[in-house]
Amino acid sequence: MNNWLSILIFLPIAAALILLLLPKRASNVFRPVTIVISLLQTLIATYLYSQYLKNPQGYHFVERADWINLNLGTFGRLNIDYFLAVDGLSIGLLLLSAFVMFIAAIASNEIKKDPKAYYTLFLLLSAAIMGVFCALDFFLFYVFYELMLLPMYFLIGMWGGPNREYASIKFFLYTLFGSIFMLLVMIGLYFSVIDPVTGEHTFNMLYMMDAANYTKDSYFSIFSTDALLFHYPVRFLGFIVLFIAFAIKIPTIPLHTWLPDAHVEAPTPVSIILAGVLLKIGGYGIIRICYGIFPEAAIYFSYWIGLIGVVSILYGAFIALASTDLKRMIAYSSISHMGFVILGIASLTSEGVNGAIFQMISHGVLSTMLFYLVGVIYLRVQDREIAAFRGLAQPMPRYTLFVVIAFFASLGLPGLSGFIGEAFTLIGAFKSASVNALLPRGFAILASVGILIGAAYFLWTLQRMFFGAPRFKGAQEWHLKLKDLTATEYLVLIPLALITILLGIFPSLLFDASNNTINAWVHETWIHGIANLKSMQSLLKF
Amino acid sequence: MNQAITYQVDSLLQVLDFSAIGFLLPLLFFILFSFARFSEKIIYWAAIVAILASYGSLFYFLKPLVHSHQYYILDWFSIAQSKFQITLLIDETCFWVLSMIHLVTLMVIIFSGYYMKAELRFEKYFAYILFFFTAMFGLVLSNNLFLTYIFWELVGFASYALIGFWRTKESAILANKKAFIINRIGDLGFLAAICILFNQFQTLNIHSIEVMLQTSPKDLPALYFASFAIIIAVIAKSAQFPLHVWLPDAMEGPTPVSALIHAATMVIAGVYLLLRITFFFPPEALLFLKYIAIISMVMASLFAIAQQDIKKILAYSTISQIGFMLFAISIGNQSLALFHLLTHAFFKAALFLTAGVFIHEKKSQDIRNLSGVAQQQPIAFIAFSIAAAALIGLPFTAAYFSKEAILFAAIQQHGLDVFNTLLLFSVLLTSIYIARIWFYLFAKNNSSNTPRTKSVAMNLPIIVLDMFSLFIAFSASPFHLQAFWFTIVTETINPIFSISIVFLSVLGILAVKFIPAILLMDEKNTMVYFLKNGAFIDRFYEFLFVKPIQQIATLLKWLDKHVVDALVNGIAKLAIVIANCSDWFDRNIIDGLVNLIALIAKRFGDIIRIAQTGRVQTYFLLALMLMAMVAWFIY
Repeated sequence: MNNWLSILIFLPIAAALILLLLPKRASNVFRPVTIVISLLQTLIATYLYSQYLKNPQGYHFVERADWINLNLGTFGRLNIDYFLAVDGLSIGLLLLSAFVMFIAAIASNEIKKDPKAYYTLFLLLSAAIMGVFCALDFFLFYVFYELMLLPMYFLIGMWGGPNREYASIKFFLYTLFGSIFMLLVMIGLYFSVIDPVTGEHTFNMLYMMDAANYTKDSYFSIFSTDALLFHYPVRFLGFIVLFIAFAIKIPTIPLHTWLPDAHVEAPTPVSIILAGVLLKIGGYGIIRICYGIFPEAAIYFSYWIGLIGVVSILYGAFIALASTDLKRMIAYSSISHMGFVILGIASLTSEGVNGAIFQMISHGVLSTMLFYLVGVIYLRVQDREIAAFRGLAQPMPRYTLFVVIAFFASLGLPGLSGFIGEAFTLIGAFKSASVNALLPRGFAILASVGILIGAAYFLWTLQRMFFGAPRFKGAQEWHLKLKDLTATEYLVLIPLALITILLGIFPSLLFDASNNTINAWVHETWIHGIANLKSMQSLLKF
Repeated sequence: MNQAITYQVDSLLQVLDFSAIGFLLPLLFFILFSFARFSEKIIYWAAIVAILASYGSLFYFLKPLVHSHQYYILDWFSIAQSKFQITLLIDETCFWVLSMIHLVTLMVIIFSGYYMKAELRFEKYFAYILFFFTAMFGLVLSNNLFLTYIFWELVGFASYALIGFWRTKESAILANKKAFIINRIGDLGFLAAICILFNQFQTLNIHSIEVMLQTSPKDLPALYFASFAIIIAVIAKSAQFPLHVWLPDAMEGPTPVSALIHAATMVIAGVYLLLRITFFFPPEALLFLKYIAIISMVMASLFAIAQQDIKKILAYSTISQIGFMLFAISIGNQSLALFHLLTHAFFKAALFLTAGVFIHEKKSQDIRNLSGVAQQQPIAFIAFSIAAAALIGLPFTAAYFSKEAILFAAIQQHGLDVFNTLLLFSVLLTSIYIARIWFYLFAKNNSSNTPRTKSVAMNLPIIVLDMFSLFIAFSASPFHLQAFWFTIVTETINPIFSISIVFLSVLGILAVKFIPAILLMDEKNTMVYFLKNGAFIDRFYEFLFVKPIQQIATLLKWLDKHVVDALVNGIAKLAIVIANCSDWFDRNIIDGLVNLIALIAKRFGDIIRIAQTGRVQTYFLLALMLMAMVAWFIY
């Protein structure tokens, strides 16, 4: 059977359709159905992952079919392929996404309002996420990318906290802002790239990555002699625009302000999806699309990209240190941790990019755990101000155990997953200076200061909230409410904690899948990038 | 790249057997104790059995391999073209340090049965100790810097968990946070060294680096930076100036933990790392290390003299003694550093455990309140005295060999230069601070007649540790090092030199005895006040680093909200304003224009309507006027 990826994508859509047909009073089946579907997806993804590991290179599970084929008269033909495949870059993220959706489905037990709509949107979102990681046709990617936006908007806007409408609009507009420009670049690329087999324009991303497929006088061609816009090569602007679109998703400084608001207002499972999966699409997009299609611009701007990474790491860490709301603190720590991803990618070394992918997956697991843990106390007392709690370890020792695991994994304690990602992005960033001279060594050193501040805010929070003599804002009433973990909560937290430990001890679980792909990717990006840059510099004289 | 390593398969199996028992068994118990409930007794005995089993396997499996000095390599993961391997080195150094760790851990666990009895979360305490043991175990065996780094941080985590074991105690939870964060600074140094060395050699196996250096020039700038970065890591982990501030605070943890982690084992990790890695250090780095060592020794012994808290005195003493070991390394005498590391571990653990007995007896850590314990706990008192003698380096103790040998080597090499003068000064200070405790303990106090506790769990460990503080553990003769099993050090010591050092120490003891001001250490004296507060280094850091970082954080938070986010909201508002403007424009100007035209038409119609009177006379008049106008035009 070779349409596993389609199954992964359309399974939740089919389930969503079934849910829509069910009557509203059947409210107690919605969640189980969603859990089963996402469990199935996780199992399929795990199977695909293990299959991939048998021969971990190139694209696997390729599905390709004509999708839209319109004759546009003088414009030629519009060719959009239904083109799915995964490689070492996406397979890990695909597995992560399926797993995080499964955890989010279990964590949705707090959703009481209008379950039918909630779970339908949830499944639709799940399908879109799977699609984003599988699509290799830019148009198809774009469709899935936009398709994610809609359910997410409603999930925050309808099931969120008191200020949810502001947060959801902000999220929506930010992302839309990025994706509209992405659309422009995508269309520009379409009219520049020719399918070498059929001789027609194509949205195929793999063709877009090869300079030979561009028609000579097109805007995005590297052999063009006049493709300048505002005295800049058009390809550079294309890169910048795409980078901004994905940088908003990650998010990096200064495009990050939607994230804390979205997290603070979103209900726990939506926060989990947001931090666990949606942010990774930014990192994935930068590696696959920005760097893949515009390698010369990536090399040209690598200093600035690395700088953005470093600033995000430090800025996020400092604001997390000053945060008074636990969820906001974790949101900013996400920004800081995703900064390592940017830094690793910018280093354009195998260590750095492998580390970035590891960091994304590790952060996916850890942020899921962290946001779920915040949800646990919020559900009990509807408060998550750090100052409102003291000595939580006393009434909730088991809960504290998981908090300690999550916090220490996030601050990069070896033996847990966060460390490997951070260490290798730093090693890569440091190595860059002597391998390809893209990043100065100071970046790695500055970024490591982020690790130090990371330890400070996590440990400070532990000390203030969890240790010491118990004292709560809600006094006696809270003492009664703050019960230790329930069975469902264990069910969510134990697998997450185990995965964190497992990845920390056996990093080869992820590196084995990503290493070959990334080695080839780094090599090609560098070779093509340098070649393109030379040709463009001689032709355009910018 | 990697030198081919050949070893017998069964010796690898032996190492794996050993690791399985020594590493995995305590780890398994750690996991069990963390999650399941057992009775105190089971936990206690299980912990003892775990360490004993590991100890047994150390001798059974590992002892025969010690002299072959071999590396055992297992593949772990690979990234790019480089392999990361689990590399273990079995040699004498590792064997001796491991046996010391086993013995001290065993004794501390036995002692904890007395000290931590009926403590809430008893099982967690033992779980953490076992976790610490496994981490320390890995640290000692590892010969790969990446692996070492992992265990390096894990022992730090165990230390964090144990310092804050009493997690409702405010001072303890502040101390463990501080310890971890300061160690983090050192960890960054370690991480930097890893980056530098990996970048240079594409491997982190220490011995592969060693092999590569044999054929390449040694004066690489990378080695220069890496060695300084490593020294930063060592400074933090081994509590040396200027990152020593966490260790005195760490005394908030249970006393057996102080004995195990903050005296005998974890804090010497820095020394151990240096023993493994100084082969690539340039002379400048060693000189820097020498400065650090000498400053730490003198500073810490001065601070120790001014303390009244027995554990704090011992903590500063540890800082000073580790400085002493680092000093030995900095003058190129690794084996003596290792020797002192071992002797120090035993007598310092003994000092802490006996201090624990006194604290338990008197419910106070202030040495002024501890008088009278000599009568109440004579065994502990004698044990304390022997360990104190070892700290001073009096004859008949083991430290007599290690301490005197280092001093002799230093003076032999460089004569009586500034460093060595300071070194001797700190020897004098050492005898003063420990004699202060001793005189307080020895003083009679008739008012205290509390019934004394006696138990095997209390006395056995301190007796055993004391035995290892005596010469007999290392040498057949009390005056000449005649090794019968400990064969690393062969240096003989000069008797005349040793006697003069002993004389210097005795001078210090006599000073305490006959100068009441030294014994008293009155806080009203500015100098004493200054030293007692550790020269206010803590407050200096608070002022220089902690506060500014918090202020930067607060400032950035404000900026984030009022500038960055405000900008975003401002753009949104601007869009709304523009939308409103265009709405107004649309309604009033565009639509208004349309309406205006209609209005004009209407008004014009109104005017014309006036003419529409229906009277013939008016029409006639109008026609006449029109004709007149036409005629006028034509004309």
